[in-house]
Amino acid sequence: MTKNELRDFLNSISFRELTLTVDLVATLGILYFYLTRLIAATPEMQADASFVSSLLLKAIVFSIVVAIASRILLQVVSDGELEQPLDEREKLIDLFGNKHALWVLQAGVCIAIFQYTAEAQNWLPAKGHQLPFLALHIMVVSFIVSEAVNYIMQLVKGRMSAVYG
Amino acid sequence: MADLQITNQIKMLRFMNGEMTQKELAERVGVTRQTIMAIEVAKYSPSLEVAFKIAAVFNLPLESVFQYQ
Repeated sequence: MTKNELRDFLNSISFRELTLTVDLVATLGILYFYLTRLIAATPEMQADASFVSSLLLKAIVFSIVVAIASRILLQVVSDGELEQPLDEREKLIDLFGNKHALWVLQAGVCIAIFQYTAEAQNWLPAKGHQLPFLALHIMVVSFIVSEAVNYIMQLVKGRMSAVYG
Repeated sequence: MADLQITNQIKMLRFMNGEMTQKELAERVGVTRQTIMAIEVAKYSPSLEVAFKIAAVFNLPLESVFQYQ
């Protein structure tokens, strides 16, 4: 990419795209926070309900802090654009992102229900250590991933292709 | 997008009206610059309301700005 192409690209970035990118990075940060702490925990901690609820609470607090920090950052760099409502094209792109996010969320919930049922009915053969509260973790991760998919699809749709189709 | 059959003369009309920028047109119509850009390159077909607003900015009838081919 040449210097001029880079400058044109930076000029073409809308505030909406900047907001989506910040939200995407924040969401991926929350996912990283959740998964690293879950994986780093000992099997005893993973089986402890108080540890899991504490982890969920920390993830929620972390997401609130990240959301506030990102909004302050965007408020600083924006020129009153943060308060402006979405226009008709942006609303369509927002719907497109939500549609794909919903698919991911639905798939996650279905997988979690199947996993819980399979575990309860002993359908699956026991193979070594199995993560306790796995259905809950699947739902939490699918929720976070669905948010990330929402932002990614909006960024892709807004820049690379037509709104229709 | 090749499938779209609605073309427009917005880019030419902007230049004919004092080299109006996309940002200026967007502010007058009430959309973002990216939306004007998408309309110009036929990546997005605006609603009737926005189409009429664009035509009103140039003081032209709708069919002089947008064509269905």
